[in-house]
Amino acid sequence: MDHQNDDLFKAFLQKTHVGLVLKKEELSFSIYEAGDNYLKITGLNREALIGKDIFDVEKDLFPSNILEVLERVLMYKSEAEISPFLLTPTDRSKSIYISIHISPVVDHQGGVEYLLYTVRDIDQEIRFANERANRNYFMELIEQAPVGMGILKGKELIIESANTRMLELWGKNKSVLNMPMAVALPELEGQPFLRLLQDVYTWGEAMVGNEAKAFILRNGKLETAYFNYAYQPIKDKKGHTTGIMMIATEVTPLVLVKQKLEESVSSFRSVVMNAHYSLLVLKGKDWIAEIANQRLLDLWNKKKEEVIGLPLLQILPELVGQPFLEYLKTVYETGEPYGQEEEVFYYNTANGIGKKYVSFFYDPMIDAEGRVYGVIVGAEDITARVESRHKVERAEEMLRIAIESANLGTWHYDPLSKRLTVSPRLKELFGYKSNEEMTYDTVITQVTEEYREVVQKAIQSSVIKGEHFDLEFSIKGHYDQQLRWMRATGRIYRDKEGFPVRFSGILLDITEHKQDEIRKNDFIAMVSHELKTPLTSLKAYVQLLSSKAKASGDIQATNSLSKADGQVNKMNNMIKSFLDLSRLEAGKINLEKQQFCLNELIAEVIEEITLTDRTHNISTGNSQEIMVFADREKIGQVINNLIGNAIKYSPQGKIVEVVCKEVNGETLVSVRDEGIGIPKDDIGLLFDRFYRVESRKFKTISGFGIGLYLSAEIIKRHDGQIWVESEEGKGSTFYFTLPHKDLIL
Amino acid sequence: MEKRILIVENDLEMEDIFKEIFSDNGEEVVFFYEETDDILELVEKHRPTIVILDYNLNGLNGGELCKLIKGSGKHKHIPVLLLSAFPKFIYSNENVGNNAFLEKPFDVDELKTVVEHIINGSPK
Repeated sequence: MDHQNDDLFKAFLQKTHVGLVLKKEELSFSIYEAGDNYLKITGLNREALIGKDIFDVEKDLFPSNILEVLERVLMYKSEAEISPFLLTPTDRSKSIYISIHISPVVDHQGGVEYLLYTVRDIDQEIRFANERANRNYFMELIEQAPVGMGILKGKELIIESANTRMLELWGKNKSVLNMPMAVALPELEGQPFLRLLQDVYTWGEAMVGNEAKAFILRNGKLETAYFNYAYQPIKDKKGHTTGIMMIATEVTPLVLVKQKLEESVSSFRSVVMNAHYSLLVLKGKDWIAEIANQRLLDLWNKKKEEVIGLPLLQILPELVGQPFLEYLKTVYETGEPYGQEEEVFYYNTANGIGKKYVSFFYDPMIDAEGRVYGVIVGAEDITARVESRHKVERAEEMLRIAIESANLGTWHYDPLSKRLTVSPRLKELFGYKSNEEMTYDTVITQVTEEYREVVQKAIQSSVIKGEHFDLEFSIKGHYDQQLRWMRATGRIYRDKEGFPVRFSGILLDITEHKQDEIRKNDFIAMVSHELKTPLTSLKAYVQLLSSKAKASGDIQATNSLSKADGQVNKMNNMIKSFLDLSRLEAGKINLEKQQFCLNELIAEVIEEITLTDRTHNISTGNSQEIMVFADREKIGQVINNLIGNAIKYSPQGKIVEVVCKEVNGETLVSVRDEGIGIPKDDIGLLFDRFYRVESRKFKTISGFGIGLYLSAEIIKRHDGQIWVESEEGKGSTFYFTLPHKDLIL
Repeated sequence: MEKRILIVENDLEMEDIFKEIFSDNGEEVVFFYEETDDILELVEKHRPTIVILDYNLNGLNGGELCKLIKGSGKHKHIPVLLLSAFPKFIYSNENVGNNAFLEKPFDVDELKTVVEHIINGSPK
C-alpha cells in the first residue's frame, strides 16, 4: 500500500464505523489504525492502541480466541465473525455486547497484509433476547410449578397471570385473568385475604400464611380449604409496588388429617382420662405403665408418681401369685385380648391386705410386624356391686333356707296370663308330681267346697283391691285325695302404672295344727255339751221348785230360786260362748239371716238384762225403727255382749245408752257407757281372742275375754264393722255397722 | 184329752223331770233311755200324741229318728220336738222334718208352751 493511499485509508477508517485495522506481524498482529467509534466504545485513546501488538493492549479488549480467528482469516482469505462478545471498557463502568466482524484486505498480488476488524454495538439486542429467554423460562417454571402462582397488578389487584395450579386452587379457569381479584373470586368477600393483599400492596411488605382457612367456590360448591401462601410485593426501580406475586399451596387434606389426628389423640386422652373405668397402658416387656387415669390410681390406691413410668411389678409387687400376671403374659404371647367379668384383686395397704372385686379386659397393642408391644388394661372396681349382690344372695339363701326348713310352698300368679308358677314343695302339698304343671283352675277345684268361694273371693279382693291375702282352707290332694289344711298368705305386686302384675305368696301346710285345732274345738264342743246336760236338769228342777214355791206362796223360796235360775242362765251363757268360739274357729258358724226389726231386738235384749241387773239405767236414746236382714240370734248375742260389757266395766256409772240409726245407708248401732274406759294401748287388741285388759281395776271383773272376739267375728261375717272409741276414766262407746239390706242379699 | 208323750233321751236324770213337768195336766210320759233301735216300733206300740227326741243319742241320733217318723207315712202326722244341748244352727243344714227345736237347758214354761203349740198344729 502506498502512502497516499495509506493516509486516505486511515482517514476513511477513522470516520467510518470500522473498528480497527490490524496488520500482520511475524508472530502476531499489530493495531495499524483505530476508528473513532471504536475508541468511543472502549474508552481508549488512539495512542494507547496504534502500533501496539494485540496482546500488549488492555486485557479483555479482544476475545480470547482472537489469534486463531485472525490466522484462519489470513490463511483462507475469508471473513469471520465473533458475536456476541462482552466488551468491558477500560473504566469498567458497564460492559456491552458487541459483534466483531473480521475481513481480509487482499492486495493485488493476492496476499493479505491487513485485516479489517469492525465492531457493532449489539448490546440492546442481546440484552432484550436474554431477557425474553429468561422470561419464557420463568413463565414455564411458574406454569409447571407444583404450587399455585400468580401475579396481581395494580391497586385493583388485577390477575395478570395465574398458573394452572393456582386456577385449580381457586376452582376457576383462565377467564379470571385480567379481572380484579375481588371480581374473579367474589366468595373472598368477608374473608381476610383481599385485605391482606391490599395491605401487602400498600405497605410493600411480604406476607406469609400457614394453614389459613378459606371458603372457596369450587364446582358450584362453597368448600372449606386450607392454604399455605406467600404474598410478595413486586416493585419497580423506584421501589413502588406495582403488583403482588402470589404463591399458594393447598394443604386441606393435610390439615384435615392433622385435625383428625389431633381429635383422635385428644379424644383418646380424654377417653382414657375421663373414662368411668380404670385405664392403663402398659408397654414393653417389663410392662411399664405409660398412661394411667385417675380411676386406675384410685383402684390401686396409688399416687401418679408411684405408677407412671414404672414396671407393673414394681408398682404392685403383690400381683405375684395373683392370676392377673398369667392373663397378661398370655395376651403378650398370643396377641389375643382377654377379659373377665369378676375377679378378686388383693392389694397391699398400710393396714394389711385389701380386697377388691374388679372386672377387667386386656387389649393387646400390636405393631406393624404383628408383635405385641403393649397392652391396654381396662378395669372397673365392682366391689360395691359384688358385695351388695352377695348380700342379696345371702339374704335370698337365708330366705330359701327358711322357706325350705319351714316346708313352705311358694307361688306366683300372673292375673293377666293366668299363669301359675309354683315351687316343688307346693306341688307336693297339692299332691302333684314335681314335673307336672299346675293351673289356677285345677287348684281352685282342689279347694274343698266349703272354702272354694271364700278362696276365690279373697283372691279377687287381693287382686282388685290389693288386700292382703291370708286365708286358711282345706284342699284335697290331686292323686292321694287326702284332705290337707293350708294357710296361704300373699299380696299383689303392681307395676309403675299400678297394674297388678304378680300375685305371689307362700303356702304352709297347717294340717297338723288344724287337726289339733279341730280336736280342741271338738273337745270344747263336747265339754260344753256335757256341761249343759246337768245344767239342763238343774235348770228344770229350779224352775219346777220355783213354780211350786210360787203356788205355795213361799216368797223367799221363789226369790232364791229365781236367782238360782239366773245363775244357771249365766253359766249357760258362758258355756254357750265357748261352744260358739269352737264352732266359729272351725268355720262352722252359719248365719241364719232373716228380716227383723233391730230396735225390737235391742228392746228384748235390754229387757232380758234388766231381769238380772237393775243397777244401771239402759236407755235407747232416739233410736230409729230399722229393719235389717241378719242373723237375729247372733246379732242379739252381740248386743247382749256389748251391753253386758258396758255394765260390767262401769261399776260407778249408771247410764248405758244403746242407739241404732241409719248412717250413710248402713245401720249403725252404738253402746255408750260412762265407765272406766279403755287404755289407749289396749284398744287395738280389744277384739282379739282371749284378750283382757291387764289392770288392777279389772281384776275383780270376771270373763274369759272372748265376748268381743266373738262379737267381732259375727259382725265380720255380716260384712259389717266393729270398733270402739274410748277415753280412760270417761267411758267407752262401742259401734258396729250392718250393711244395707240390698248389699247383704 | 189325755196326751201321751214319747221321749227318747240319753240322760236318765231327765225321766223324772219330764214326768214332773207334764204330770200336772195328766199327760202320760213314756220315757226311753237310749232305746232307739226301732223308733217306729215304739211309735206303733205307744201311739204318742207327740215325740220328744234328744239329738245326741248313741246309735241313731234324734234327727235320724225324726226322719224315720216323718218318712213313715203312717205316723208322719205325729209332731216331733227335737232337743239338744247344741244350738239349733248346728243342725240347720239338714231338714229332718221336726216340728220344733229347743236348746238345752230349756225353760220349763217354754217347753210346755212349745209342746202345746205343736200338738195343736201351730209350730213355734
